[in-house]
Amino acid sequence: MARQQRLVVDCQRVELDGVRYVILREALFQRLCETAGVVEQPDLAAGQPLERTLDLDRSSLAEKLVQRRQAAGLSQADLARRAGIRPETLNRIERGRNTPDFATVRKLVVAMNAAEQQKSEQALVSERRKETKHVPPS
Amino acid sequence: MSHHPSPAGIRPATREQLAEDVKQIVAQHSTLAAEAIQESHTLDHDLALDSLDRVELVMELEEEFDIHVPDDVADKVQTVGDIIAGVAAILEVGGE
Repeated sequence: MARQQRLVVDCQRVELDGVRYVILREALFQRLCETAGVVEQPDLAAGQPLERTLDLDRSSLAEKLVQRRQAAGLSQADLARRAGIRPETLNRIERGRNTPDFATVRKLVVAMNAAEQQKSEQALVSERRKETKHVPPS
Repeated sequence: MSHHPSPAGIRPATREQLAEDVKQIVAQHSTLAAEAIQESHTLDHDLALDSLDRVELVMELEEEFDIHVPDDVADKVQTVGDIIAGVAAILEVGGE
């Protein structure tokens, strides 16, 4: 009696930016597809989606982060210090070379929000000073 | 911001109300209208939210519902349903 050959799945699980992925050899993946009668979706065939998704997130995050930091009037070193992260880490994130976890992005957002608020409060104070100077004597 | 679901810190009475409120907040960070958002929608693929959007979304939920979402919990959230379930668990809102 022919026994069905058992397929041993050798894979690794990773978590990137809150999404869990399984990494396995391509040949094994193809065998699994054949065994399960599953057809690979054509545009997924180049092995790009994961990279594309991560690249998109990284570049989108990097771009927005630089814009927000500059709008808050902070240098990279200032923001890193205020957020309590290493300047090298922030530099890598802004160049799209690092996918930060939730805690790191939250630290950056909190620091940028505080700096933006500080900036607008300072602007308000100097505006009031100007107004006070221009009030004609009654 | 055009819509304020419930006044900040007020707990929605039912899970349905909570789901409504969460979808309204999610809609402000995505290109989809609240009515089009489904609990099965993933934040990254379906709603195209990046890490910065996700953090801002969570911080807004924290402010609206007067809660704290731990970073490790927020890190694991993948779908709109996960957010609703997470907030419901923190607020102890049942499904009646």
